[in-house]
Amino acid sequence: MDNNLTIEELFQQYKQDVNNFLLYYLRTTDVDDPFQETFIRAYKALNQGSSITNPRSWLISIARNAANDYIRKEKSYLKKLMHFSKQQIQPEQQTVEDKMELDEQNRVLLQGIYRMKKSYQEVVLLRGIKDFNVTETAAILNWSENKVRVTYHRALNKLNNVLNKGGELGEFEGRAETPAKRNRDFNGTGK
Amino acid sequence: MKEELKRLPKETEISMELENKVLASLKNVDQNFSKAKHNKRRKFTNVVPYLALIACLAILIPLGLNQFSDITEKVPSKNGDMFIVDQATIKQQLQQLNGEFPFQLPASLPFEMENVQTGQHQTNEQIISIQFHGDGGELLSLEIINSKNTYNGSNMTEQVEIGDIKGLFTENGQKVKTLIWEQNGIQYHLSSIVTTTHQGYTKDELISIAKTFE
Repeated sequence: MDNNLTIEELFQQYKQDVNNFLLYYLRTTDVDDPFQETFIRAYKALNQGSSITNPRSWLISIARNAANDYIRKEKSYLKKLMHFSKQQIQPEQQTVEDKMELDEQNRVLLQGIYRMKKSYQEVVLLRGIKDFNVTETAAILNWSENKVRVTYHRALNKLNNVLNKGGELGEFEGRAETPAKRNRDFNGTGK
Repeated sequence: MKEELKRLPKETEISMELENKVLASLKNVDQNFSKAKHNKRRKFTNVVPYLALIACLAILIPLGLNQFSDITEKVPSKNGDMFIVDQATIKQQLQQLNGEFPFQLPASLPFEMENVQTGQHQTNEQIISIQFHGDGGELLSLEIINSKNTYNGSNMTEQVEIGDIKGLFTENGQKVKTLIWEQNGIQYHLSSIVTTTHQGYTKDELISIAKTFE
């Protein structure tokens, strides 16, 4: 990496990339907190003299960790909310697909991805959508390169299968966590 | 399938509001980071008061404190590569100072002494300072502290053995190396100081000198 890159330069260069990753990864349009957290963590790491060879995959790796922490916090918060206030959570108004202005074909593709298990989703997101190579993906996911190759191969087969079998999105409903199911769960009516 | 995946957007615009929010938070982190570094420095100095004392002495003594007197007489007796230290003269010099207590001195040093400076600090504890100046620019500083407060070291010190005695070694920015040990309730801080003409002594050399104390 060009070690002279400041956090502001990193931010300007990769802000849209990181935001895009978080939208896919968290499947919500409300990614402001993990987005901000990503650059704060990156800045702290830079201040502590972290050695960075590939700033893009480095930032995405930080974003993934920030997103996972965000998911954990949200789960804990929602559990408390369900237990103590019974407050109704309003369904999300705008979906990731809306925000990205996806056409019908891409919506089907993205929903097919979300119907797969998490490891498949992650490797498809990084290798397939975000165009990271095997080495970069392995570094981000903390996997071996071989695992990346094998999992990606299986994920693509699975995705093909999901899309061909179906096209019928409802066929797989219940296996994957859809926004509708999430909202039912939050309202305390889902199982 | 790979081609289809590539059609999905790879970047998404962020709002100006979010951009400003993140940039502002980065500035806050910057300020907090500076404060944290500052606090860390303050904390560090609190942890190692003895090291600060040594550093002060190392700086002040060469400038010449009032109560120091010179022994200009050479003590050139050779003992192998070491030179005999004229302990009697040093002790005689120190007797003129108040608060004498039984302490040990090096029997020999690895250089020929040009002069020896002695002095005593006006503190609650009795502290004797002796500086051994060599004719080749060598400089050793010895602080002898009559204190019952045991110094257990910090994360900056390394445990060493001086014969049967356990001691501590610390290096201050490569310019001052200090060996600390205690014997019979008296602390000894022996420091090697880098001068313009001498690169100072190593840890092992300081241990060798410490072993000659009697």
